[in-house]
Amino acid sequence: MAAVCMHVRDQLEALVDGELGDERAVEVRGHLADCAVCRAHHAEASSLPSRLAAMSSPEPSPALLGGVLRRVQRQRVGPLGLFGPLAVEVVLSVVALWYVSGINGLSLLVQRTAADVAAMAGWGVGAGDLPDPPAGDVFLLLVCGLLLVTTLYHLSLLSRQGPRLS
Amino acid sequence: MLRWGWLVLLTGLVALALLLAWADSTLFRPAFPQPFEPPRRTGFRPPAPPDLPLVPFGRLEFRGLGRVGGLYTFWWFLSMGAGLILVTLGVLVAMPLRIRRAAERVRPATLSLVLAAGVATVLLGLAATVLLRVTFVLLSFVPVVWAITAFGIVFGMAALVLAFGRWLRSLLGPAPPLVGALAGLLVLVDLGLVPVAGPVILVVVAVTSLGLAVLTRVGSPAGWSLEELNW
Repeated sequence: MAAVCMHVRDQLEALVDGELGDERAVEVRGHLADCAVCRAHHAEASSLPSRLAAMSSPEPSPALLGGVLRRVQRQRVGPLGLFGPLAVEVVLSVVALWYVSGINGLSLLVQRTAADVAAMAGWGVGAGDLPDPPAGDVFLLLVCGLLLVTTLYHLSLLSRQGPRLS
Repeated sequence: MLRWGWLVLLTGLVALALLLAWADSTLFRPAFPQPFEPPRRTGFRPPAPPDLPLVPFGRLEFRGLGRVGGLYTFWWFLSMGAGLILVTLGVLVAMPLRIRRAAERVRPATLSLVLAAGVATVLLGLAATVLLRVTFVLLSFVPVVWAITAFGIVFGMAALVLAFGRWLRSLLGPAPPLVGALAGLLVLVDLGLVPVAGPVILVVVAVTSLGLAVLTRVGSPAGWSLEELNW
């Protein structure tokens, strides 16, 4: 292969993309008129962009625009929204702690729950008695219910910021 | 090959852990609550251990670092630290991609958010425990709630130490990710062994870890976005 052919083939892509200077483009075209092999290369190079241009792009999903707009327009939660519910949770926790007589009471509650679970597991395998159902306490249930709702709401607010963490 | 800085750091952290474990088990042992310590009868001598015929050499009796069994002894602190390291590294090896996704979201600016999520999750777990207990029939779900919580803590901790290890690698030079995570875990163990303040630090780290696991939905690519349901 002649050196001029190598040089021309290096510039074929630039010629196809219209990025070659006018003077150089005339020279390359002149060589293409004389060289059949380089002409074949040129035909191959020019056919790829034209094939790509002829391809039809896929139709976007109807939900694409709505999804993008929802993500872009999603309201940003402010610091008060992120940390405000924490104050309510702390107040409810303090009330619950006071009601069960402090940390010791909470620890006792957890220990009793664990003991009930163990008794129930033992009962399931026939190795013990079923524990007694615990007596319900309306006030404690109310506080725990409120705590449950507040924490779930708080976590939903925090999770909206989740993707923005990245 | 590891650089000298890494070897010095790891060795120093292990040495510090040994020193802190010794201090906790001797100087600061009274500071730890000991609910399971059996009452000792005066004048009671425990029976001598039975001779084990299959032991090829004499019993190894080394009491310089305290007894092996029991709570808050030197070996107890070391086994707790080793257990924490093994479990966390195990989760790190089992779920590398998810943990990496969670670790990528760890930044100083977002730690307060993660901690708030952790606090809310702990309170949610406590409230759910009380409510499940009262229903009685659903009492069996309580261990499930606790197990999920424990897994979330270990997962988040793995992500935290991986992020910390990555930061260390930027300081000390290249090293395998697990070595960086191991260094982070050793720092955590050392912090946990700091007398008096150690348990508090561990609780804060555990709550933060839980919050990270919850906020990233255990390292899910899309977080808590429900866009996948809309197609």
